[in-house]
Amino acid sequence: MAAPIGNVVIPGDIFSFTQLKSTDDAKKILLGPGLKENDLEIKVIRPGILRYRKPGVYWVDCHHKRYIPSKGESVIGIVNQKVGDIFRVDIGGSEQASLSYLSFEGATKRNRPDVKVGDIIYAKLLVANKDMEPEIVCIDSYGRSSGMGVIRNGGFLFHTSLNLARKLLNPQCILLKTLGNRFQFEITVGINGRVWVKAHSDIQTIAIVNAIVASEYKDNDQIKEMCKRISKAVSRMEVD
Amino acid sequence: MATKQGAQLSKNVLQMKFMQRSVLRMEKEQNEEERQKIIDDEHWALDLPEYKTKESDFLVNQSYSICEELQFGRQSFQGFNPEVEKLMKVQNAEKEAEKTEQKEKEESVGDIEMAKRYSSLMGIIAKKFAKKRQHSALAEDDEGPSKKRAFLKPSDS
Amino acid sequence: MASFTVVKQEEFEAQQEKGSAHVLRCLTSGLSCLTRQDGSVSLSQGDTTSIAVVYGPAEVRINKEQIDKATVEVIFRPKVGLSRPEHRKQERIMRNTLEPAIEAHLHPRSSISIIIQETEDLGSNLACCINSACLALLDAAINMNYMVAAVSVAVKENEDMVLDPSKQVEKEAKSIITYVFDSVNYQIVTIASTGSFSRVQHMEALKLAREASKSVFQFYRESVAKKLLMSE
Repeated sequence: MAAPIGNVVIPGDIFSFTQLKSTDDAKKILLGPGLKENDLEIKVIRPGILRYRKPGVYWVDCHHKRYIPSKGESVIGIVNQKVGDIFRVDIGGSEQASLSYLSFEGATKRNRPDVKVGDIIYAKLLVANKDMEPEIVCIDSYGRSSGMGVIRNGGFLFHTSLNLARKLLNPQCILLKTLGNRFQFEITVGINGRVWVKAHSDIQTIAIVNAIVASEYKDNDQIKEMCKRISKAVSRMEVD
Repeated sequence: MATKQGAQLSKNVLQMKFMQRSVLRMEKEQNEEERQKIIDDEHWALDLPEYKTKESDFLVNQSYSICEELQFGRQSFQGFNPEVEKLMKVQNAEKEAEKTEQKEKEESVGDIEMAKRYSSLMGIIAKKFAKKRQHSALAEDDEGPSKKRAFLKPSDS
Repeated sequence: MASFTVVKQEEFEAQQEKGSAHVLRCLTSGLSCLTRQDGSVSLSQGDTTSIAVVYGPAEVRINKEQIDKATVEVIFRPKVGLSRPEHRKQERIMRNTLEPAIEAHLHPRSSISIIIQETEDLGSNLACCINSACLALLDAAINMNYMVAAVSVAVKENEDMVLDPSKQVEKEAKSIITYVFDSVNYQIVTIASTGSFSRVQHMEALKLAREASKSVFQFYRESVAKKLLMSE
């Protein structure tokens, strides 16, 4: 029997190693979030839909609202405090993350980055461990910013469920592309369920935000239909 | 200095007044060695086979972004923020390059196969460039001892 | 909103009137009924209803911090008035039931708080509270080893067994036993009882409750599936 890919699994469900192996010829199986290794068995520890990707990647896609930091993920944080050489940044997890002032592009001891309490930061998790305080950085391994850093010049920040944030960034989701064809705007999506949007006018910003929030339980066809409706409504309002 | 070179100084020399410091040092070294020996004998170790950790069949990763192959989180449309659009282009190009590389790997000849082919090719080329005598030697090596050639009379029909 | 009917209310009442009733009341649940919480559910077992919400894994107060595991808190809020010692006891029972089910060691130095608001107590309140708490944990996608399901059994004066008793039956009963089972092996996690009962009665009630718990687990699965497959 093969593993029930695409079906709902709940905590306590168990798969054997052979069950997963049978659908795959990969040497190692990668267990993603929601799965736990238990001797030769794999235990489900979160309710969700079992997903699979080649080669040998299994995970449970569940509905989340609370972010649990995980290494290498890009998140949007809000600077809460400045303590000596580090900033304390709220990234929505159980603890505040720390951000050194040296981990910005071009920052040196003399040349400090211009970061104030309350700023929005797009950063990557460098350390995310259940036993340690998470640490974020705004540079990649080459020392370049590559899009990370303080997000300035207004815009609108709102919270969504973690599923929706992941859905927006999924290559299969067409929402952002479709909206991009109709509006001129900029968006930053953090895996921690925070989304920042900036467009030319408030009307457009509100329209885009509403479209994103409404798309959580819509498929691609419904999204196309919705975008068409919204852009019509917006153009009518802007004429008025 | 003398002890370091391994040469033993005679008793008479060591008894001289200016050698007293060296004598003391030598005694100290000897004592130290003996003490070390005693300590080593007192310490014990269990004679156990080397501890091996069982290799797991699974890799565990708690990140959704790796599992789902998510896109870059900053996007801009219709030239709203040219910097971000440039970044998007770079990221997309990287991804595509990765994909094509993977495709190439699947389609092209593997390293081991290449090495095999090359070694057989080497034989052929070596034959071509070898002088006549060596050539025949090579041929003999390949085909084993060949029969002596004899003139074959054509049949009369 | 997910719903799953075990038995209709009228039929159930009729059966309980008759004497021994071996059925559960109608179970309905609304997952994510509140928006601000990490997980929330309103569960009704017949007319007994409760709302449970879960926050976590969230920041923890320094004095409650545990460095090797998450701190699990259960707060019970009665329908009227302040919480009394009996409610504290109920909180303790629920906490001890739920803590081993949660994989607390995966989130050290954080807190998982479960708040249960009693909205209507018409019999088997403890069972309803435990079940709603478990569903809320599922809704918040907290890491769990297994799920728990609670089932109440009342032993009447005439030695009859009534599964999932209503308030009236509870008042007249000689004893009430609440069993909690795990979802993997259907083993007992907790027993909370009032009144006296014999060993034989206990065994009989246990068998009855264990069978009933399976339908509660089935209900969990269907509720969660309905919520998750909404976008599919």
